[in-house]
Amino acid sequence: MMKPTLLPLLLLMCTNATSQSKSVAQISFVPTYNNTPILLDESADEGLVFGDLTIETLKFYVSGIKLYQEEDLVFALANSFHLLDAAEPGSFDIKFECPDSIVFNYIQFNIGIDSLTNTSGALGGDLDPTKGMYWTWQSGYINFKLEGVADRSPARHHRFQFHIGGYQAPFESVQKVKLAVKNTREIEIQVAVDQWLATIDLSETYQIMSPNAAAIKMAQRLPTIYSIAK
Amino acid sequence: MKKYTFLPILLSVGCLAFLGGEWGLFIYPSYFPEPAYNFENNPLKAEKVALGRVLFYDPILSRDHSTSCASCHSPYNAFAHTDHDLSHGIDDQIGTRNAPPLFNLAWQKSFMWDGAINHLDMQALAPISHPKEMGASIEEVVTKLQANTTYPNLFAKAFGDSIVTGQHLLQALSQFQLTLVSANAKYDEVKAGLAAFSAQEENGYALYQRNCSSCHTEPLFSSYEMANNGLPLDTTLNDFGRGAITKQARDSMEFKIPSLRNLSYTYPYMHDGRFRKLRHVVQHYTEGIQDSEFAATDLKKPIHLTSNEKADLIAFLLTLNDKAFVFDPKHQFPRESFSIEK
Ligand code: HEC
Ligand code: HEC
Repeated sequence: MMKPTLLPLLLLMCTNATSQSKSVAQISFVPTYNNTPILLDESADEGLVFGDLTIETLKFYVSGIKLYQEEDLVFALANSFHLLDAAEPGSFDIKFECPDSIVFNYIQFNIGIDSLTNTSGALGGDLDPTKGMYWTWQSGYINFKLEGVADRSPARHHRFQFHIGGYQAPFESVQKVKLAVKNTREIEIQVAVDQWLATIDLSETYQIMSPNAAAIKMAQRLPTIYSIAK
Repeated sequence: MKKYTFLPILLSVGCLAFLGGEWGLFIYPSYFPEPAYNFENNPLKAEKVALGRVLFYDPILSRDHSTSCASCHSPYNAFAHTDHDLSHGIDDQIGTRNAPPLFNLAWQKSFMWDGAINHLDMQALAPISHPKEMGASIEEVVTKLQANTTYPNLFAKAFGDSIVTGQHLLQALSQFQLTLVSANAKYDEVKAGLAAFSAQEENGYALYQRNCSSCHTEPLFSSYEMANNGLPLDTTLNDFGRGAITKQARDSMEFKIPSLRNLSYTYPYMHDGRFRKLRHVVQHYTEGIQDSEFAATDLKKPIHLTSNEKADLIAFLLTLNDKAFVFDPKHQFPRESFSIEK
């Protein structure tokens, strides 16, 4: 008796799954400095000047994007590893197929790459080590990279360089962010880079290039600069 | 007799528990543990191994086409760099560490003397971009390989895609290096019941088991963990090993335990190549251990060996030389491929 009923049931489930309507949703990250978007495309070859500070490089990973209704996970992006690079504005828009039926009020993601992925060998796509976000002399992804010039920095040519990463205790730098959001298919997240730099004194802290205590401090201050813009 | 023992060993011990990909590329005796390498992400395939081998021997990976992986890792030295205490790279620059031999890499959990690299795939990034080794960058190398007339074809054969990526380059190099299995020393013949130790070797084996096996564990002759084996710091190098990576005092002067296989081919010894002879190594363990807060507990109790016992221990260590591995043509310079172009 059981057997004959199974097939129609399966078919029903299949058609149900394929007919479930979906549409393209988009999560856009907008990095800003004093509310001005940071775009480092060809028009900003020499970097973007903000008073006595110039930003030349801004790249970071966002991974594991998930949508929640309160505590319940309602949707997880597949293979969610995204390299966002201010020199490639298109990289800031993450598009995905989202079932129309789901309702959510929180978005969660990681700034950076989890430790399992960090120890999985050579990966492709945005995780390819040619992307300039993998350390060479010590394994691990750089989660967040910001480089530029500031009068205050005492380094050579007044440069500052922050390569924030590290996956191994006690220097685990990946950060989880959960933000309340409206149930929309176009989420915009502002990344206020000025607020991050405001937490340090560039005349004292201007170069972090490896996993260490200073990097962890800087990493822990990252989540606060991500906020919902719309 | 000797020459033909390879196959019988493998057959008699019921060989390979595990393939790691296509049949015949990765074979090891059943008394070896499970490999640590995650083959599911990079299953072995003949064309990928072949590509990795060509890359390993090709100086195209260095900035000025002067230095290949094999420049520092020679097949005749079990892929170490004999005679050089510190490695020798591009523009004749001297590095700060001795080039380790390359074999049984599939069983290692971390790489480099300080374990700074967490996966074999990612290891090649270090020499490619080191200013004193190959002086290039992976981005540069990928661009050069893509522009080359041969490589896009080899990548297509291996990966079904002629677009060269960092991932595929690194995976191919891993594939070749994973096939470097050394398991055909006299010790292995004894294990397989095909040979017997001499009385001197037998005595050396017992001394090894008593004094060395906690770190240089059978059958790989390393646990591949980190340890401080009591070497005094060379103040001209100030190399603190693992401690410099973890920034924890207790890890200071810890280095990755090397295998004791193939020692006749891999001198000089230790991370800085400070000992040229096995005699000097044994003398270190009997007379030279520098006690410190974090020195390995196994070495806190002095090791006393008579001169006969030292000779016996060394006689046993020599049974770990794997001549068949060192002279295996499969691992050597791929002449066929290098006649194509360049
Ligand atoms: C200039 C000499 C030099 C060149 C060229 C070189 N290596 Fe090495 N290799 C070394 C040294 C020295 C170490 C140890 C480094 C350390 O511990 O910091 C090493 C370590 C390694 C290890 C780790 C072994 C272990 O047991 O941990 C592997 C694997 C390796 N090299 C593969 C390669 C490959 C593949 C290439 C080519 C892409 C290459 N090497 C090029 C000198 C070199
Ligand atoms: C506490 C763990 C430990 C014990 C016990 C130990 N070793 Fe070692 N051994 C090491 C470590 C760690 C190194 C690498 C040290 C370095 O380069 O700084 C090493 C290196 C060596 C090397 C150099 C290999 C190479 O390729 O450079 C030889 C040979 C060696 N040991 C032989 C022995 C012998 C023989 C014994 C027993 C008498 C022994 N070891 C006991 C940890 C140990």
